[in-house]
Amino acid sequence: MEVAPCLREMMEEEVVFAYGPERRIETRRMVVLKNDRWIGAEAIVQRIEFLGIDAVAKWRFPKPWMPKELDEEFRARRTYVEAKALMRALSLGIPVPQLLYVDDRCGLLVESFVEGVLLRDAVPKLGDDELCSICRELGTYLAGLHGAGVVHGDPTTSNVVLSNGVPHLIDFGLAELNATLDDLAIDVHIFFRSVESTHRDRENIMKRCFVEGYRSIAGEERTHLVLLRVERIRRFGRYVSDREVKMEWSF
Amino acid sequence: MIVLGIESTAHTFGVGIVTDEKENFVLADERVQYVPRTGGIHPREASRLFAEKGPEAIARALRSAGLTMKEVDAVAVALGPGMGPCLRVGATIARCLATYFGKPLVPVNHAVAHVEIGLKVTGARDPVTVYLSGGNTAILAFVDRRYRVFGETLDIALGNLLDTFAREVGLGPPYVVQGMHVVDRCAEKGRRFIKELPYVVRGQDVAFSGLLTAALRLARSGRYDLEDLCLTLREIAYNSVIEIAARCLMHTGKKEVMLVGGVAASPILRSKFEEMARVYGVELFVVPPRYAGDNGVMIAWTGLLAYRCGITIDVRRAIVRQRWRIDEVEIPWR
Repeated sequence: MEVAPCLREMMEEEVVFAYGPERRIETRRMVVLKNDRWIGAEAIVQRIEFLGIDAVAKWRFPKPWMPKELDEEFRARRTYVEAKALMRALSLGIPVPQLLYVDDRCGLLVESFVEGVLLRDAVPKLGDDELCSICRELGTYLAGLHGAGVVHGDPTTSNVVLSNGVPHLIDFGLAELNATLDDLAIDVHIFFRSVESTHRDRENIMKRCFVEGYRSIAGEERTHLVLLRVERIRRFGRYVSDREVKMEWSF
Repeated sequence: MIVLGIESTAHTFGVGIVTDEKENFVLADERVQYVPRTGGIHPREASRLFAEKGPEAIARALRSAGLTMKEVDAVAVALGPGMGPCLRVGATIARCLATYFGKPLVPVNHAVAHVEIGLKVTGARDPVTVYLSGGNTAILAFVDRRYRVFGETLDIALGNLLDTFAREVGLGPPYVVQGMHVVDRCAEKGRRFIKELPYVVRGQDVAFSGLLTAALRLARSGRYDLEDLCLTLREIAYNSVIEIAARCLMHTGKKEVMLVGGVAASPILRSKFEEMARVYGVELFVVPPRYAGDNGVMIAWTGLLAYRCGITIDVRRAIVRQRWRIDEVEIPWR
């Protein structure tokens, strides 16, 4: 697991900071690595300090199984889409990591680190009311993104961080712009499935409140359309018998 | 122990006879292949062919193994998942054999059989299994007594994507020429990445129908070279499968990857997975072409494993299940 060459270059760079009216001068490295790095399915993720800010650097590393030129285009495209989706979310007022730096040619994206606990780990400790209001918030986030034609691509409870009680949506690595109705429905389906597989005992409340939040932004008609499509996608799945498709949100 | 297995889930009627008493476990491997003249599999036509040629294939298998039904300990049959009319032919023949010769009948899930034959012939121990065929795209791993589905296609299968694209733009049928898919052949002359094609990983899953629609729309627009479209389509599709397989590896911490199913015979896909295995530091196993496609041996072998654990089914209850998911099956032999 290597460090992105473009990140390594930034480690060499020095930046001069000037603070306050007394112009206190301080020189720092642009990037300082932290001892925390892991490889994901698409990228190598590295905790860093970027201009003194606690951040993560996501590097879509070259995939030797793809033709070189195609791989470069592909990684640049994916990085661009992720950055664009993050900015779109930010402009909608959705709590997401702050985008700090993008080098799409290198496949590098730096965003602020969101301190907190994963919703996945927090669910068992949350009371019904609190859990409901968090899921309602998530519903509004997703509906907001969807209204702007953006899908998150992986909205599971592992990609939500509770920071000071506020749910933040993280990891836009699988996001897509110009989403179709199918894409929106798949997004909702992924959230539902993560709830069904990881939080079975809280399934009803989480789905119900999520849909409430979604409806409050997307409106009755649009929500209905998306949910109908979710049902169709589930039925279309490999060898799913009808009874397993049964949905829990028609309250 | 000797088990006769019958496969008839889609385009192949297969009869396999296996034993656990010898190193060379395959005693017979007979197949009847349905090849559509145009388009995809027509279930009625396929089942008609199976009904016509199936009994002969069973006789041939027994003859080549030098056995009579008396020496067979159990009859195994793939009861699903698959196409109803095709499944029913195999199931009817199996029920008939079991009743007439008084043999126990063993139900086998077709997807489990793909995994088991892979394990048997490659020697992989506990891999993340990538199951790719005309009708299936799934990432499987053995956890808590079952083969769990970690990721799969939300709509059409990888093989289906490639075949349909090839058919609609006039590259096939036949879809596979000299061991290579026609889309792979067409992609060889491709150079350029086409940005308009969508990325298809969705959470832990893939979804290919949007990619197919977009690729066909661009092909019809005449604005792009077909070779570039083939290349981009193929790279996006293969890369997405590799990506969800990598996710499963990360998630389960397993150290092996195994490719099974009809598409596993693709040399291009194999070389891509070799690179992937290198990057993630895991060992790659690929089922040999002979057992990549549907066959009776895999049903017989899985039937043997199940029968050794005492799994049988009452003939009256042995009905086909077109939508029998792999994760519904308990695996007591592992």
